[in-house]
Amino acid sequence: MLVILILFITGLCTMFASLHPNKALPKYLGILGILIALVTLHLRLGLGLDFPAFFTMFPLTRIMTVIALFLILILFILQRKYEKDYDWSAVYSLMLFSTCGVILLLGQQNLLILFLGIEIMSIPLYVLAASKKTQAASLEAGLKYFILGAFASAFLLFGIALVYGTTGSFVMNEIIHIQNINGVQLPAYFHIGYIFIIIAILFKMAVAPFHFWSPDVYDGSPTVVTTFMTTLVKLGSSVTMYYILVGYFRHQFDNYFKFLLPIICVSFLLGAILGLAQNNVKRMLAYSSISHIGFVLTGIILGIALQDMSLFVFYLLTYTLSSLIVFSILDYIENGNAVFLDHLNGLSKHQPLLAVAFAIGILSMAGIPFTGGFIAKYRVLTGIYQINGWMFAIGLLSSAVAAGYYLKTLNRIFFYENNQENFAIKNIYLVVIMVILSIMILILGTLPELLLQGIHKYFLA
Amino acid sequence: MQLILILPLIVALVAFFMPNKLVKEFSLAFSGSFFLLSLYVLFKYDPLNYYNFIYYNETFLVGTGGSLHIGLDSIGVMMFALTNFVIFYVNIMAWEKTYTRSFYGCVFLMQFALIGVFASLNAILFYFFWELALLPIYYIVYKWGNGKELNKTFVRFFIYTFVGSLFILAAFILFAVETKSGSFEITEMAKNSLTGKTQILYTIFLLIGFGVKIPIFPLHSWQPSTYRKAPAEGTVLLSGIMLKMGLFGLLRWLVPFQDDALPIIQKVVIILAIIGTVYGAIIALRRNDLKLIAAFSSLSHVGLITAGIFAYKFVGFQGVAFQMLVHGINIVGILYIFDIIERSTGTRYLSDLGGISSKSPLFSALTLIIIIGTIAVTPLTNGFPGEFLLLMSVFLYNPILGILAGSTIILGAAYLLRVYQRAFMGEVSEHVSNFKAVSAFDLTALGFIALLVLVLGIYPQFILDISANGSQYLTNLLELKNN
Repeated sequence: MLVILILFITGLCTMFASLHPNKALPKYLGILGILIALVTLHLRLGLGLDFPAFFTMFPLTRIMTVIALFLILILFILQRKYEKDYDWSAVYSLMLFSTCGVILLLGQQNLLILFLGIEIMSIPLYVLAASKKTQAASLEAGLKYFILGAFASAFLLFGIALVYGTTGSFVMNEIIHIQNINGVQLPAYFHIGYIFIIIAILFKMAVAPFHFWSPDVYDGSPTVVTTFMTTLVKLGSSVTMYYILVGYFRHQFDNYFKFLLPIICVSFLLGAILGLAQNNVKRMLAYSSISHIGFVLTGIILGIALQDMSLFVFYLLTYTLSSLIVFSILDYIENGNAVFLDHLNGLSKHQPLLAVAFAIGILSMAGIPFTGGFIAKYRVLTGIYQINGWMFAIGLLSSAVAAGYYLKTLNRIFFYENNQENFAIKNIYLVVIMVILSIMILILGTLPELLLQGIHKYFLA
Repeated sequence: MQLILILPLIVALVAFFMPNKLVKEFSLAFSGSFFLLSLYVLFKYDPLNYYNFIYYNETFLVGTGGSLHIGLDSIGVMMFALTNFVIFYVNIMAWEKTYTRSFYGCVFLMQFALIGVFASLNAILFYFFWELALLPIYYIVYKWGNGKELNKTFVRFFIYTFVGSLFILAAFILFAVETKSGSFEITEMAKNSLTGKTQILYTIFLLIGFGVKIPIFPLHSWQPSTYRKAPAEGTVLLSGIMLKMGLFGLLRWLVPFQDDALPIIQKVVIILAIIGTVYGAIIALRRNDLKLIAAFSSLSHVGLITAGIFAYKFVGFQGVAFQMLVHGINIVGILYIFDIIERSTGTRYLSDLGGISSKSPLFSALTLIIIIGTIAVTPLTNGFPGEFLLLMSVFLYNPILGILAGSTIILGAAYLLRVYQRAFMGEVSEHVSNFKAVSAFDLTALGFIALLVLVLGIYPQFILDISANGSQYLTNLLELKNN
């Protein structure tokens, strides 16, 4: 809870600091705040501030919070642009507020906190998506995200109301407990309410068929915001999905698996096939993320069925890492607002290290061995095979098809000639951070046990 | 000694960061010393010690069933030597050209991956190296390839090979989950057995996965255009050694698990392989582009090797092992010759060539030796023993198929001698009239291949002694499981 408070206060400070003529001030304040938050997390300060029935620091919460803080830290460090028509100073505070929501979701124990977390995470995002005020696409993205997001929130509230109405409680543990009492037959409204909650979170995760907003929003938003969406928002919503399903699912595994199975299969296929037709890299990656989130969702279900959380944590970690690399480099390449395949041409000639880092990120998304993506995908696929053979085939097929468009981007980078003037800009921070992140992906791919055991040792001690 | 396996990776990383001026000498020196080292390993092979002195078992990739379990068995050690030979010759061929450091880095990365493929005793580790071997070749083919519609060719090549490798992955997952062992160690896998539908699926998946790489007849359509448009060095890598990955994969990951030998699949594969053999030879008779002739000749030879694997006989396995090595040497020789012709005359179309022998008699003599070795019709050349053993195994399986397969010897002689007659004999054509003299460097390199052709033809027993161990192991395993 202390972490959230620190981030919130930092957010307020950066907001006021943005009035200062020095435009770099909010950035440094934000970095300072995040570092303080990381230190408090490491020293385990302020544990007394947690409210067990509302928010608890589980080991999973700790892992995910650290990852989230590192992600936002990297996002902050990489921001070096000060454009005329785009006031970046407000972006920092909005991102910090949204991160507060994400962290609230990571430890939520209560349906009210779930709702609060989702709203705190989303409302700054609506503003952020529309923050490039001169671009019609950005405004469209913000409006679309807002309207559909509000719609999803309505679903969530309705679901919460139904669950509360049937069980008389908002607290997750109590809701789980009521189901476990023998002889209690909960009315059908309870299940309907739960499905509504699940649907609302599926919307935030952008799983097909609730994905229609994501390509437009990913494409229209400034690339920094898109990076934020593919990393932190996916992190928060996926972990929420885990919490929602874990207590409930165990009793109703077959029923809810039947409900989620077609959703996952559609996500696999849709993400792979529609991505092939895209010429716009950000849209393409939006479709790829639909497919990946399908895998994450499968990982969550398998994690519950096989009692192995590391399945989805590992997948999420590798996915967020690789998309952080890919989107950060896209942000560097970005010319105007949209990044088309042509804009990637000849990156390897001018920025060989960035090109290699980009390639490692993309290969990890495609699931090529020696990258973390392979281990993650492989573990999930092996799990799927034990449950459903056809789903396994579809998952494999989707990664084969998706490899087609990943390859397209790599071809552009390595084999096409072009002289983009913004490739000449040297950005030493970007290069160093990207190289470190890509080495991390390779380490995840060759020595996965190192990281998993390290996390367990550190956080469960 | 396990260091031999990791050295190419270190050299590759160094090569990626070398200055472009020095990298050529550096690569040639290292690939040459690797080749000498591999000859040492080959000569030191001790049949009593199955996995040789290069053996290592360590935990790796925990949580996926993978482990760092490597060892060079008898056929593996031959493939290890062949890998180093081919990489050495790739560097020799690149000597006269201007390649950048990334080419050499890719070549050594490939060497690392290929050695890994031949040494892995764990299925997941094998898959890791299998995929790693594909990445550099994509880069080489696309970056230095030429010709119209390179993009289309490349995409087709990529789709075939990538989907093929996913089939391999699917087969391994199938095996581990269905046998409930969850183990990917070959020693553990050999103890378990699949039954019924699962075994058929496993076999078909692996046949598709490896068949793309070999290629087995209906899966070959990526091959001619890729061979044609890839740079000469890329073609050498593809046909000299990457195709052996598929054959070796069948020997190691499919044959030991054929419990009831699936007679129908066995028959279908042999028939397809022989169709490929005859088909490749007939197509090669009519081609004008030298590289296409090499591609179809490769298809033809490899078909016979595949048939030899699926005959499940001791002689067959012996022939397979020997022919895998020899085909690697000979096809490198043939492609090297074609590359020299293209460099010296500026064309590789048969219709533009003629009378090279009058320009460069020594070159022609060496060419003749290598071509006769490839035809496999003459005893005392290296092609003969392997081809003979393979044909014998197919004949023992089914005499009619044996006779059909035997026709390739005649066809092979026809298309290769046609090349020799058109290009080297007859009147000097316009393109050949300003034939640049073949350098002493090239002649020495070719001479060494010609020497290998003769040495292995006169004394094949040296190689057959090494491979006997592996062949005997496979035969015993199959007999054990069938009884």
